[in-house]
Amino acid sequence: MSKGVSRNVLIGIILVLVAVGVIGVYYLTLPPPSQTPQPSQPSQPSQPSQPSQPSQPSQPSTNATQPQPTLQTLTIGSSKIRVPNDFYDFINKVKSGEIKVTINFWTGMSDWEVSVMKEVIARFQQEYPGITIKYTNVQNLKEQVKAGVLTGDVENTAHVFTWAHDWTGDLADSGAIIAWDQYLPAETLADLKAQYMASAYTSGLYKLHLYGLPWAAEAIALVCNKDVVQTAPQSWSDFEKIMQQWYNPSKNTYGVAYQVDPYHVYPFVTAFGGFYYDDDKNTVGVNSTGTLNGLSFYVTHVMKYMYTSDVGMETQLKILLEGRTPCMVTGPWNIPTIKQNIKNVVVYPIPPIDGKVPKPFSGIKQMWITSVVTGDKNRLYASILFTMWFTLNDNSLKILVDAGYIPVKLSILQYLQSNADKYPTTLGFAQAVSNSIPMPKSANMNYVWSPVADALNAIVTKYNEQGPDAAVKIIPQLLNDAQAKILAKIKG
Amino acid sequence: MARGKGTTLYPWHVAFLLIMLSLAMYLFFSLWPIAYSIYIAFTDANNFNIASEPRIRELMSQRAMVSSYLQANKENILKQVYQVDTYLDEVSSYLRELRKIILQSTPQNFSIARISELRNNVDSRLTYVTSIISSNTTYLYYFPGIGGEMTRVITIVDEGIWGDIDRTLGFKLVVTQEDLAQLRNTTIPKIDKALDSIQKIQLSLKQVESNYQSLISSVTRGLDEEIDRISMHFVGLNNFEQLFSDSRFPYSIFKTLLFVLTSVPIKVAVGVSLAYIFSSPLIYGRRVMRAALLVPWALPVLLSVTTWRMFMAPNMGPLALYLNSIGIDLNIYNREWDAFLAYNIVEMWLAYPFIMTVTMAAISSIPKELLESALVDGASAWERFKQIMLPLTARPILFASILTAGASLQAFMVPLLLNNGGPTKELQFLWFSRTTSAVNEMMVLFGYNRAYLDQQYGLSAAAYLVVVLILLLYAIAWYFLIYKRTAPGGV
Repeated sequence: MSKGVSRNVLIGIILVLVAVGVIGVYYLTLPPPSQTPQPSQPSQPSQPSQPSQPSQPSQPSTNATQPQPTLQTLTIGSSKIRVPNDFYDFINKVKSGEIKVTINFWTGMSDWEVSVMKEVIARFQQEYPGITIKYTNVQNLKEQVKAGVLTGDVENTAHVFTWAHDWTGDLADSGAIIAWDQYLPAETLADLKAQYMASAYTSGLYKLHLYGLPWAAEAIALVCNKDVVQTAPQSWSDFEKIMQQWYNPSKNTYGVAYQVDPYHVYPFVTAFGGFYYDDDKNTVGVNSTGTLNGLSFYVTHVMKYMYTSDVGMETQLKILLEGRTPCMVTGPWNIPTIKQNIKNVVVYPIPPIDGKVPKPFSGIKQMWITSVVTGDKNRLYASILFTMWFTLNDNSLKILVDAGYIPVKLSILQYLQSNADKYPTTLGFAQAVSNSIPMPKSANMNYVWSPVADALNAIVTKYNEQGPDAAVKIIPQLLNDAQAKILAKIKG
Repeated sequence: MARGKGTTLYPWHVAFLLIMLSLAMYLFFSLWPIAYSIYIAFTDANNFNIASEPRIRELMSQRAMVSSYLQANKENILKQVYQVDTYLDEVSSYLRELRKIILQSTPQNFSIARISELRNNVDSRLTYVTSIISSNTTYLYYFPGIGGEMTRVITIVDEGIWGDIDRTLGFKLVVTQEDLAQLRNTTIPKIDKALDSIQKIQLSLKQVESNYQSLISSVTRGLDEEIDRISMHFVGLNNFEQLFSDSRFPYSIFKTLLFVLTSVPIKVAVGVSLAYIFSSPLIYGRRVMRAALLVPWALPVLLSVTTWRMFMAPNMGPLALYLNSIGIDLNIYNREWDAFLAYNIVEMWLAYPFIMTVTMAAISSIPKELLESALVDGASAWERFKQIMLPLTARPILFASILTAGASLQAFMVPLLLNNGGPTKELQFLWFSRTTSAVNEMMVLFGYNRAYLDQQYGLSAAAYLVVVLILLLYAIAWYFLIYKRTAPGGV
């Protein structure tokens, strides 16, 4: 073989070796956790995700009410939280600007919310000049966060992000978010817990780990035009009279605007003792008697006064905005739009049905920290500090209340109560939240929504074809079907 | 640049390198993703097990060292077990005091301050207990009757007991008799339940103390189960069985085929006739109109189909209102065949520009001489159309039809945007079992909904594999029926 040939072969071999080398180096440097399961360090099982002292949780045993010598008291707004020494030092350093760190904060929000977030973030940066928050509003929040955690790209992934608590199970199971109790002592958690509404704090727990802190809540209620419905209807029959007066399809006026889906009809399910999924007992109750009775009542006492040709959100909201109905059952997210069209908006609780209280689902907005920050202590502490500040600082929380968010911090709820005339709608929704059932956190809930939605849609179709009696008649069959499907999916 | 004998324009080693490179590229960009998506169709992939590697890695590393760790730290762990036990004793006594206050107080001596003190005490103790139980230093969570029961206690106390107290008392400073009566009714059973659960936990803790080995075995078992729960499994043909276990997917295939049968003739008929009309020199300004007719092609589908939906929305859209006024009730949300008709109309509107363009190109390629000589020979307009123009444009139209039939077979945007494949009804198709389903859910939309509504990626991939098979059959059928037959020499 000629000289040229052997030289080219040599170059080829070198190129291949270099490529293999690059790939090899990439894989060796990529996932440090994959190297951890070596049996050489048996004494540190906490090591994969618990850099903090393992003996810490047992420390409070001696005298839990007195602060430990290693704990300092951090004050955010009106809250006093005991925190570890090194975290406290970190806070002082970012306050003076001695440490500089950048964290990414992601949300998946609508435009009006984004401007509120920016205002709050600006306040935080004023207080802690050492921390820079890179705020991004993204589409497909969950997919993007999960993908970022999988690739381990620290710079371009969210460090802190927020959404309703029903994602907790899913995110925790995939290892995308960190458990706070692995980095902070139990005293800190106990102090944090005392700051929020009990059910809001609990909504951040999954398998006994605390994964996030709550900052707002939402639940549906009866949103009415106060010029038409001046006082809260005391019972369902009161409200039914109003609906009867308004219902006149030939004039295109309706008794109530109501988006038909599993989330929105839930108050009627709970009023009759029904449920979809029980997190505690891991049971599905889609075909329980309570659910059946609730939906039957819904068809004969709500759907009867509705525009049922299109039960989607846009159309139903349009009916309310055009003044063709006095009330709509909806949540705080629609309030900005409604206020632009209706001058005098009021929020009433959904009236009790023969003494039975309808309880809607509630979603608690949680802030989570992704697991990409665990490698960098400054980033981790900055993320924790930002999350605590965001959920505890009374001044910034008041900005959020002014924007229409329903608070969950106790001091702000008190403030809301004492300024009742200033925040009529927010207070109305706050009452709805206190009377609600948090959405289940289990990842199994993913299997519940769509079969129940199918059943509801089939009820609506039947209602439109053959009227309320036929619709009520097929409900048991449809619910049994949905139940069977859900159970099959959960079993896998 | 010839260097010696045997040197050609492309030396063998260059070709060899290129082949290796392209093979590598092919493997990486083509075969790997294809193989992966086929593999997914045989797994139970869903939203929480498809990207759970970080958590699995974490659990695996714990699993690897847990039994030796538990062996080595017996003393320390038992100390913490004892600690949990004392905390739970305290919680029980606080809860009992709370129970007593609620039962025995009058509005006069009811102390809200004492209640909130009790609440703080209970909450802090429960937080400490939770921290110890769920911690990676004890792994007590995995012992049967501890983790689950503790979760129950937390829920009952936080959402139940404190929730009730907040609801009834709110931020009131004065308590009434009714408030107390309500608390007695709702809260006392919950306190009893919580006390009961706490007792169960304490029993389990006693078991840990008496039989430490059982802790080790239940922790390893618990970790294994946890890893198994969030891992993706190979399930063989389960997904395909599930697809054909009820009427939904078979009916979806049937509906799609029906849609091809109805929409293709409509699209082709409209497209071809428009092409013939607008290639006639008799029509004034036909170029401008031709350009205008191509607009549906240029608009983004998302925009145009959404517009069509608003246009046809029952009782709201202008088209539906107009039809209503002349006595036709079109309801695309509630009636199966109304919606199906709407799909056909919108699909026709989207696709005719394509057919029209292809046909026009074919018409303009007909030699003028041929038509003129026919005219001289005395052929009528109909005869010229039938004998000359139609045969000469048949093949391009045929190929356009094949392509547009492929598009109908993959109908997705139109049903998704018009009414998401609705309405939803009870459905029984052929011998398949009865189910509740959207009745106009075309095949591709079916797969999309399984992935994005139900988050069952495995099932969705299996559905798409079936769709690919159907498309493959379709392509093979056309190849043998049309291409082989019409191509000269059958190539």
